[in-house]
Amino acid sequence: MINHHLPTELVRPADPLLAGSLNAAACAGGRAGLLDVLRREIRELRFGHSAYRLRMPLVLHFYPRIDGPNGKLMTSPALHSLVGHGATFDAAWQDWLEQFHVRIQSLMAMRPWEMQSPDLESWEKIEQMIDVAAYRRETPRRVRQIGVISQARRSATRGHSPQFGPFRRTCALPNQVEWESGRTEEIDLSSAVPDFAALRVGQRFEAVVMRDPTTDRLLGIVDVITLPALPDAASAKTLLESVPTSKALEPINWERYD
Amino acid sequence: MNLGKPPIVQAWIEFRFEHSAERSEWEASANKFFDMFQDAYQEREVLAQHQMQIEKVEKNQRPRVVDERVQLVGIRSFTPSKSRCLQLLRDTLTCNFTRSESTNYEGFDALKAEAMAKFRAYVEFFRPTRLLQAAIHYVDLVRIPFDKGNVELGDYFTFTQDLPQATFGTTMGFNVQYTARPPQSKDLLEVRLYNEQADPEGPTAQFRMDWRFIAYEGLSFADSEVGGRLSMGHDTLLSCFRNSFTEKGWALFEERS
Repeated sequence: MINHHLPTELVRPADPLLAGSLNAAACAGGRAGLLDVLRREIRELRFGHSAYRLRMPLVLHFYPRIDGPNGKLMTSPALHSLVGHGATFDAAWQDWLEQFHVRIQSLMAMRPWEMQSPDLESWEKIEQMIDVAAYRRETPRRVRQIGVISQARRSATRGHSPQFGPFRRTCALPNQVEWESGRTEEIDLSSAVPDFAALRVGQRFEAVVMRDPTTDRLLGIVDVITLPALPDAASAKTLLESVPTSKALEPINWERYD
Repeated sequence: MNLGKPPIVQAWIEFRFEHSAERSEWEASANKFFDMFQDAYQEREVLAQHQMQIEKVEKNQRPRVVDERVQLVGIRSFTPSKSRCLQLLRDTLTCNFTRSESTNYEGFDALKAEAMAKFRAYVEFFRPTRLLQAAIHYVDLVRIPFDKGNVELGDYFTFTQDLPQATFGTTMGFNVQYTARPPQSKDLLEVRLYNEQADPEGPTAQFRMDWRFIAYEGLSFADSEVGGRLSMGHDTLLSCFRNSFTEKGWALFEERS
């Protein structure tokens, strides 16, 4: 029964000192929420190289010792059937993140018509929670490309040797690549793996490169493997001519088989 | 009250103080305070809050953050098993006990003894001028297996009822909260009940209850005064907790005689 003579006391504590009340905790970040050691508020999901931007803060609650020594981690907002398991808060949060990462990446790898009903429901909830468009926009694409060092910028160092007099030492810095597609790109050596710096002009290589998904700009070269050079025109012609053809075979008398 | 499956997950006792002096060196003295308990509370963490100042902009201009500061809100320290935690905010001292991998909740007597010991140490160390508030906070998780995909709230809880389905349709979530003044008391009692994410294993519906008893009038630094108010608060919370469940609800906790 609601006592209508004391309306202010029923709705919220009248005393302003009670800032730690549940009324304050009802909003995320309230004082009682701060003092709860089994609660955390997350503003961005980071797992390995992936950063998922949350549309609203994710509140985590860990409940220890629910399943034997293991506890369970729940989130608000919740993703259907996604619960973290672990003996400690950190272990359960790691488990939740791994499950989440696998689920979102599996769904992102699917085309819409490949999704079954539970997948579609799950995807809809993920899109409510995560800014998927931002993830696609901000996550670099990794592609394998084959190219040739097409230009090396020359850098000269001048000095003086007591024995030989003045000298000029030059060094070639690989700074341009021609990809198999015919596209030529300038390379910033600081964004490439160290092995790339050892390549010479004309060296053919296969690389794993990171590209901006919206502009296709080269962001970095994360791996490089040298490849043997392609044969020149004369060698290619000789090779082609060395391949046996049907001309070399003896004529067959088909009537023999009638 | 001896329960085979107690729903309690965490409990804490919280003291809020008033200080006369400007506390500009609070962080350094807070660290020294924690050093006194380093043997038991070994894993220290800081609670920080980002404060941003955003500049006014003219029409068609993008808002600009002109200053961002990280302010230390508090420090907390855990025992190695993480079952006990001591927290210090600028004006608040808190002792938290939780269930952990290796232990169940240790009980009110242990919590009160620990909280009162740290309360005395705080008063001695920081010399506050007044105790503004003493509070007990309980967090319970009530797990109820679904029956044909539903849980009838009225079957388990006495202070909340389901919405009429014919009018409202299916209840997907709820959050009820009351503030009450216990009989013959100047203190306040708050309770909040809401549905937590369902556990797919079972499957099981999960309800979180936050219970809070706040004493804020006529407090002194005397052990007998503060301890007595906390014990009274604990008794009040226990009685209210028992009466918030129906017999079917209470059976979930398997009371032992």
